[in-house]
Amino acid sequence: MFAIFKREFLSYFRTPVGWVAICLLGVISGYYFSGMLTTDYAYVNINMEVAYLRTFFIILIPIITMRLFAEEKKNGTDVLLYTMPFSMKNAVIGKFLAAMALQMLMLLCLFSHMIITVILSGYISTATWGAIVGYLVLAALFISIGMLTSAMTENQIMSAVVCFVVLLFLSMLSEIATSISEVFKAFLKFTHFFGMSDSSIYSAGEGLREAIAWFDPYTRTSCYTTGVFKIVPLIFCLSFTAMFIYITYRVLEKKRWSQG
Amino acid sequence: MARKTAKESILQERTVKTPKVSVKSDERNRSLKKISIISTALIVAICIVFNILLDLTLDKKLTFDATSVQQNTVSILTKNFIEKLDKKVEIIGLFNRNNAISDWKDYCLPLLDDYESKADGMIELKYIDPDVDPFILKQLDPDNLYGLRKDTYVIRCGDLLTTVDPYSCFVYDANMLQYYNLAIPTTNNLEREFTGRIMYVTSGRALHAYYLSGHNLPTHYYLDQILKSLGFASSEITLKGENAKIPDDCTLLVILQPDSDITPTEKELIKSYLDNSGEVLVVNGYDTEKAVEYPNLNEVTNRMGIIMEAGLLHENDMDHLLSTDDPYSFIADIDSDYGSKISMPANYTVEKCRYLKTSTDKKSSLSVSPLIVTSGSTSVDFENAQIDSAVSAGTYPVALWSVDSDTSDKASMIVIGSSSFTSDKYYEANTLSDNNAVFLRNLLGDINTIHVTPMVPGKSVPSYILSKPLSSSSATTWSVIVMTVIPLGSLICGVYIYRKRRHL
Repeated sequence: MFAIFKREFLSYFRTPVGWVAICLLGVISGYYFSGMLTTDYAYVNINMEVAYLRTFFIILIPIITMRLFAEEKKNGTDVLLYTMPFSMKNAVIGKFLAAMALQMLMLLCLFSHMIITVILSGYISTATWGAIVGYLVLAALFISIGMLTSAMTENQIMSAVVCFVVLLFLSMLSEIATSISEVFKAFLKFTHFFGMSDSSIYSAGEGLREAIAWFDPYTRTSCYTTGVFKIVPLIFCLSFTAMFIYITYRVLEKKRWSQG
Repeated sequence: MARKTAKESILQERTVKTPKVSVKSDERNRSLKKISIISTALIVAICIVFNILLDLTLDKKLTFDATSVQQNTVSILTKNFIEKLDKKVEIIGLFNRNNAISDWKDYCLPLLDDYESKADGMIELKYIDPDVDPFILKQLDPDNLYGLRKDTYVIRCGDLLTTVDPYSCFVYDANMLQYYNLAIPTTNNLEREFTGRIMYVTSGRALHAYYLSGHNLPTHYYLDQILKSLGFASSEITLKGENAKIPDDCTLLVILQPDSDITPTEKELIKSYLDNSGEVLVVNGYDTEKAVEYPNLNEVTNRMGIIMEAGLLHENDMDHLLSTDDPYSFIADIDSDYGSKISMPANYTVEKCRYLKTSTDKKSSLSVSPLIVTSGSTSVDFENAQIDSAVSAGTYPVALWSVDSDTSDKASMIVIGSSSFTSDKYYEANTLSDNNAVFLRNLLGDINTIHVTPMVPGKSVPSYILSKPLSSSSATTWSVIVMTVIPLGSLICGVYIYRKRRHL
């Protein structure tokens, strides 16, 4: 697993992908941070920066994950993965850890901003560390999703596009849930479903909205930026990460044995 | 022939064997597919069920406050109060919790979650967006008495309902507000406000304090805080119009430092309010620069056996003076009789105190008692700044309390001769943990038979503004560094590696 991790992690920096990802996050976070610094009142809140960076996962994660398996296929090296004398689990976990390591490395930009804030006699709240933990578990979840799309698709661009669409869908899940519940309520009202009263229709619609929004990882992890440290959202993200890693493993395992 | 036979036999063998391999491969594929689908479905189901169970059972238990001043956790005072709640309280946020974009929501949502989790089921917290459910406002307030609106909270227990506007629960940085029109909170009073409001709705009594406006009413933010902490709602009324009347729900009428005498209409209305067992708090310090006569107001206080004179208390005891060059700012003591009945701090800061006295020809049903008194060496300066020879040095009241036992429900009046018990300026410098605030709070609690718990302190909000001002040139320098060094460095590396390895 370590060999795969090492190979994959170094390959980020042997190609422009890793550098471009770091550059992109550096520009985005630098823009936000300098925006805070250059206001007349110099209000520097790193928590807000972490919350802001989360919105760029939909661009950064596909860049990091698109090549994980799709490139192997393109280069024809996927056969090596299937025939190497180690378990496919190790390959999947090694690649996942490499992408996570790159994500952590990208956070150096954020840490450099924290150091500058301290130098400039600013305030770093303890909640910032919670926000960073929340950021990383969300990144882990999205990387595992990106890895799955990479394993399922034939080329890198397709992988990046599918991953982008999935992450976009997840980032809009609360709004989607509200819209679906509104449509559902309108449908129930229109069809006089079992003669339901207005309040019952409202409750049913809200129940549906909550059920869909339950899967929204952004809302679940938003508490970290407000100084609330919850364990359950961590477990939610990590368990779903494990689930997507497992599904990736199953997809590859199936491909491995159906090589003919 | 033999070769042909061999070839044929090989071909024959192949035609016989191939279907066997294909069947095997299909079976293996089918079995793999089956295993993949079943195991994936199983893992997904386990993952969802596990997280649902975790959400239902441990979510609140495994929640920690990561802020340095415990912004998101209720204090021990509130915790003790809500743990003993014996009535169900509903807190309804009139907005969509998931679309929380205002700063105050960052403070409000986790704190109220903590209220709910520590109340052992006695507090129910809900969020209903009036844009999504427009009937909710009508349902909560059918007669539109409370003017409910979006982005506020409604607290309800039985028939009693009150509202909290979270935005007003913070003290904001005055400079930022003035110069940049930015509301940066410096003190968070959310917990004080919510606990006070819960006390109010669970008390079963509607307590409402009205400030008499129309006489240049000074700002009363801190007095509001004291009243709210006792469960009072507060608002202002004017009694100047023809149809003016004191509302039926008025528990306490506050006359705060009027800069002119009340009108005859106001006088009659207040007297009639007292005849109907009303409760009045008069705070009227002596302003030497704007000495105003108060014949009408004096008639009202005289109805309760108290007279406010146009004189200023002059402290002569050096041990009681706050500063040797200001004889009008001094330390006063709790009256020994009153202090023995109720737990009160011993000393209070008094500034520019009016000379108060008990009327000699008061009704027999009136009982007037001093609450706070000066040292035994105090004299009175009258308007001409001469110490009146008729008023000898002695002990004078700073605050008097009068009760009329003739009225059905005992009308009462408190007259305080110094604004240092209510003024915002005083509390900005001394905070609400000052003895003066404790006195006023305990006194109002005592009169209204409210079980007074210690006041929930405000929480200071850490400031994210750089403590050392940053010049525009250094801000620009730092901006250039963060915007270029890391991004440009990594971009150059990326381009270099691409050029070197593009043919590999």
